[in-house]
Amino acid sequence: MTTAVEESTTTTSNTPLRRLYPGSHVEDTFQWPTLALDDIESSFSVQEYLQQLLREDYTDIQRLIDLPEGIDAEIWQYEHLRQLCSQLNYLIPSLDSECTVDSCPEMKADGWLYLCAAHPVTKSCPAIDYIVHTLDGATMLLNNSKYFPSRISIPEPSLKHLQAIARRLYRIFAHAYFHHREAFEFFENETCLHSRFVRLSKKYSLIPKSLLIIPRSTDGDEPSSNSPTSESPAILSRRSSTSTVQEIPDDTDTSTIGAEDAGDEDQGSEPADRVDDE
Amino acid sequence: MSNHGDPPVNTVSTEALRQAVKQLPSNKKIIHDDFVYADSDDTIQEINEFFNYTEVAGYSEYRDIFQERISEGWDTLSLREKKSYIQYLLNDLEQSSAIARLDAGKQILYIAQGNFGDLESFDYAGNDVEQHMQKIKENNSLLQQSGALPVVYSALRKACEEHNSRHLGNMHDVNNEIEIFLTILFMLIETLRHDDNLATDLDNLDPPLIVFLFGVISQLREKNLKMFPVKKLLLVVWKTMLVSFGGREEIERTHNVIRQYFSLPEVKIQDTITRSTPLDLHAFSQEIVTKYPTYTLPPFPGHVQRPELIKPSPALQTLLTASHGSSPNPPSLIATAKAQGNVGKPGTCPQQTKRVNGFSQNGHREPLVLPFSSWDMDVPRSIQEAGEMYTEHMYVSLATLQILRERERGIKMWPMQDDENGYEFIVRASQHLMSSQASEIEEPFSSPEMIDAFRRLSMVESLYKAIVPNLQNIIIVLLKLLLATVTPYNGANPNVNGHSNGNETSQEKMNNTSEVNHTMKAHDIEEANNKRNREITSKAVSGILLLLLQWTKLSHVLKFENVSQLLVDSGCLLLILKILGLQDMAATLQEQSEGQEYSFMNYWSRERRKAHHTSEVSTAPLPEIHNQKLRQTNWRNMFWSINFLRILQKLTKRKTHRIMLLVQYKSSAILKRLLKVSHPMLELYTLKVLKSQIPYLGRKWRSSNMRIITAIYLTCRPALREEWMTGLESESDIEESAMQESNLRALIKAYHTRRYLPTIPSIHQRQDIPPSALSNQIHDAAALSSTVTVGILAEEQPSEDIELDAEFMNNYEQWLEDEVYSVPTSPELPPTDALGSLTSPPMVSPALSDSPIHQFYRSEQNKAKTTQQVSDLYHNQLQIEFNLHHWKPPGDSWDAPQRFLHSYAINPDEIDIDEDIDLTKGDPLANIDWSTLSEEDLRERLFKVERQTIQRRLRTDDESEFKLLNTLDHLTIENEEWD
Repeated sequence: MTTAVEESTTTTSNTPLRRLYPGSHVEDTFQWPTLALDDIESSFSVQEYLQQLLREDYTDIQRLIDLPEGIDAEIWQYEHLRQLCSQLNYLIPSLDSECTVDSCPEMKADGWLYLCAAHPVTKSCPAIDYIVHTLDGATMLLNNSKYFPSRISIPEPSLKHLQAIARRLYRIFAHAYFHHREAFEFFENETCLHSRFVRLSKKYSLIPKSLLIIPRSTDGDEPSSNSPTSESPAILSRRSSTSTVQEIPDDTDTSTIGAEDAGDEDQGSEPADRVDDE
Repeated sequence: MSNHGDPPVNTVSTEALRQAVKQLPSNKKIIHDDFVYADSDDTIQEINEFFNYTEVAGYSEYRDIFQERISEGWDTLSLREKKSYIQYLLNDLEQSSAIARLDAGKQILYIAQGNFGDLESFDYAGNDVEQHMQKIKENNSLLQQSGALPVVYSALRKACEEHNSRHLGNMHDVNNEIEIFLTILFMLIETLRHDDNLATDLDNLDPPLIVFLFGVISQLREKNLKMFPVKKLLLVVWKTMLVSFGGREEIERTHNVIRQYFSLPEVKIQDTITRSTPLDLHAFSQEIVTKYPTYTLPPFPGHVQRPELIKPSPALQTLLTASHGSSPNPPSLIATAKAQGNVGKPGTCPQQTKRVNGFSQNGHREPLVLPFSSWDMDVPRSIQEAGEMYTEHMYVSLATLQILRERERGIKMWPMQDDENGYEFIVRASQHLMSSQASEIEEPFSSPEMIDAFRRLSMVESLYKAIVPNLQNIIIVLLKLLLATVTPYNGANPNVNGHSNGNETSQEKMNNTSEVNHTMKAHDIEEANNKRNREITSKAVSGILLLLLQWTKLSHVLKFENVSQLLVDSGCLLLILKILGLQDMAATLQEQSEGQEYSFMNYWSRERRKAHHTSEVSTAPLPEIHNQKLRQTNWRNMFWSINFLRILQKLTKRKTHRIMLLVQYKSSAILKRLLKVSHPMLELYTLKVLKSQIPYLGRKWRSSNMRIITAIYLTCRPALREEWMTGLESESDIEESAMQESNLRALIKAYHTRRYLPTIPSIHQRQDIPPSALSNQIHDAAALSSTVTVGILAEEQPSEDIELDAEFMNNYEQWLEDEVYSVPTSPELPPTDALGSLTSPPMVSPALSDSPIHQFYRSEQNKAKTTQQVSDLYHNQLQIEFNLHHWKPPGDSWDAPQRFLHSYAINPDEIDIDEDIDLTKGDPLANIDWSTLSEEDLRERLFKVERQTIQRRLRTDDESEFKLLNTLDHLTIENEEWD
């Protein structure tokens, strides 16, 4: 039975096909050897490489988001987002029991109230609907060949969609964190998805920092320096004071904009990895 | 005037005299050579025009809000920080709290406006308006890169949705929101108009922006227009059309590409000296054939079949011309006025009955034999040359081709294919080609121009498809808005004139004092603003209409005809004439708008300088560079004047019926006045419209207006066969024109029914506008009234119609009886589609029909009757089939027609009538539990089905099917020698 995994189709190549064969047991799946990115011969090499990294160690976030050689930053972000959408689906069943139309009639994330953009006219969906619509919408967009026709390069006008997608997906995490904490924690332990997402967004500027409302001390790997954490409670306190968005006192905001950059510079552990996409 | 105490005249110096003369209103004609007709004015001017004078100061609020948030200058932020902040704002736009959205919107708007309040970022030594413009461009570019367009668009959609649902209550906020989002969109579109990325973005929006905006326009019909930012909406629509479809250049390019696609030669406008159309050729050949029967036309590009070869069946012909009773030659579609109708009718060619000396009155029937003329094939050389010239200068317009195809389709009843405007298909195919990165395959459709052209045309198609149910509303709204710009003119006309004449001097005076003293009273500002807004609205509506007409024509001429028909039926011709006629155009085109220092750019420039130079007195004069003062021509007014003339010309080109409307409205006087303005393009179009009317204006007019006729000769490009000078109006023209019009409407209806029927709720249920019956328009002089009432042009003359109705009603029933409910014998049956479109009289625009004809048509009785008849038919068949024991073969089977040709003859005894196959008892398959049936049961059922199917086929009443079923038994070999 284990031999079902290994099969060579041609006499010249001895590399086993990295496929799942019908009838294989779960324990026997994914047993193929680790390959470097360049050695993977497939049209979806980047995706497979990413998944391989995940299988090896899903907690080593830095390794996961590091841009491998020879790949465009945009393609890497794209593949990460695809993977994210795929994995985020697992959050929904655990939320499903808690997050009902009655418990969360609107998509709230600690004071921010969002409208679901997946409809012809944006409407106010209950949270669970919002989450499902947004996730489906993001998946469809990423799969849409009009915007993302190839896995090798992304046309320029489609780049802004990555940011919009990231922004909207973040709200799912935000809602889960603030309103369904246990489900969030449990999921995060299983997959480290949130921290990976946040680090990715920070690194590639997918989401403005002022929108990252979940306190960053939940990131396992990151040394929490003063300014980011001081910034986030400040925002939190503003948001939670009223249910609608109020004017942001300008000094805090400018200090965050100034301080964020300064704060980021302090994280000297990864200076080389700052990708400047200006 | 007493001269007693006055000083003698010669002491008045010539200098003083000269000054005095200058002060007088100048009679000198101003040559508007600074006006170059283009798609749109320059960007700064357009932006200025977008904002009202009265609201410009209000933007300081937005500046304040923004500067509170970002206390450091916007320009000092890095690109990344800017993008980050923009995204933060975009995130806010997706909030459900309206306050949050409004707030974010204001800030984004401030950014889009070029953050004009950041004093430090301007360099005051130079022209700060230019710098401002630069910042606007940069900021908008940034906004577009950060993905602002889709988010703002969905916020706009939400706001409009709310506007729809709220009937009372506080509309102010919603209107404010809509206004802000519209402004942001305008800034994006206007500044990035030539940017390909923006075009791609616009294309990717779903629903397409242009479709949505037109939807909003059509909804405006029912709403209170007061607080709605209509002018802004119109400007955004216009600009979006320019980007999504394209301007003049793109139209030309696309036109050539499409012609290439249909294998027509390219069009080079400058090179053509003269043109002839296939219809001209046809008319010519018909004329000549009566004289010289042996004449054959020289061969010409064969893709245009001669219209006369596609003859409709007699049934169809009767249908199409039922209400007119005249015998149709190949129905004149876009026929030239006289040639077609008069051919072959002896005695109805007035010009030919007047003979040259020495020849008989009826000499046109006999060949003219001149000495020394060469003859080939019994035809004089001159005639042949004429034929050759026709074919040489033949210009087959795309329109002709499309109409011919449509006609052919209707006559030959091609199956319903949704094909030929298969631009969608081609666009998708080409995208697939591009994306799969196919290497150099020589595909005929892969050239970038073709792809571009098809992309635009598929956009036009999708717009048209979406708005065709609402087209009526949209046009009414647009025309109403135009009307609103006219009516104030009536009262204010003398003021306008008085102002404009002294305008130049007063403007100068004002400018001299303006640096010091900006006291223009609020009232004056508002008035100037209103006047300007009217001009801007006219400009926008004229741009929209013209672009719509131009692009629909490119897409398919019948779309264009539909739109133009709706326009004409809604009174557009009269409206345009009023607009052009009720004001002194010469003055309008020269006048400058006042209060320009309150325009957006200028005002903020001044404010900045004021704030900057608080203590110093600025010695340099305030740069009012973008003042219109420096231009002689009022760009806006000139633009819409030319546009309206072009629209007028497009609507009436070659449509005798509409030209006669123009004549009736005494448009010649109006157009004559327009000729006083000296601008080549304006003149050209004025003369074109006049030219088409000349045959109907009478000799007297012609003799007294020789100057105009000369001008027409000099300016307009002649067709190969020009009849406008020689022809005179005749009675047959009127009939013919009506027939032409009705044929056209029939075609339009057929086209739209075929392509768009599922989307139109019911063509016949529109009751919006009282009808404008065709023939009545021409004869009813009461149609001319001094007040413009959109849509009500003629009083219905019921008596005439009722008579028609009765006649037609009889025909209708008879026809239905003959052709539908009995056995169809000829394949030329007109297609009866869902609405039986061809059974309705094609007289009136379906959308406007309220006449007795259509009321009858719509009546319940009729529908029920038809339905009943159809269902009876069906049940009859069923009865026959399943109640076989009631059926007896007629007479002796030997004499009766052989109905059963095979041994599958039914033995009535074999049929189990008791089984539950009788449909009157309900669904025969209902009570069968398939799982419990034995194999034998199943087999028996199968056999039964098989047998009955065969029987049913054989027992057909349709004799045409006998051919399929007959065996060769009955054939005999006649020729005995055949072995």
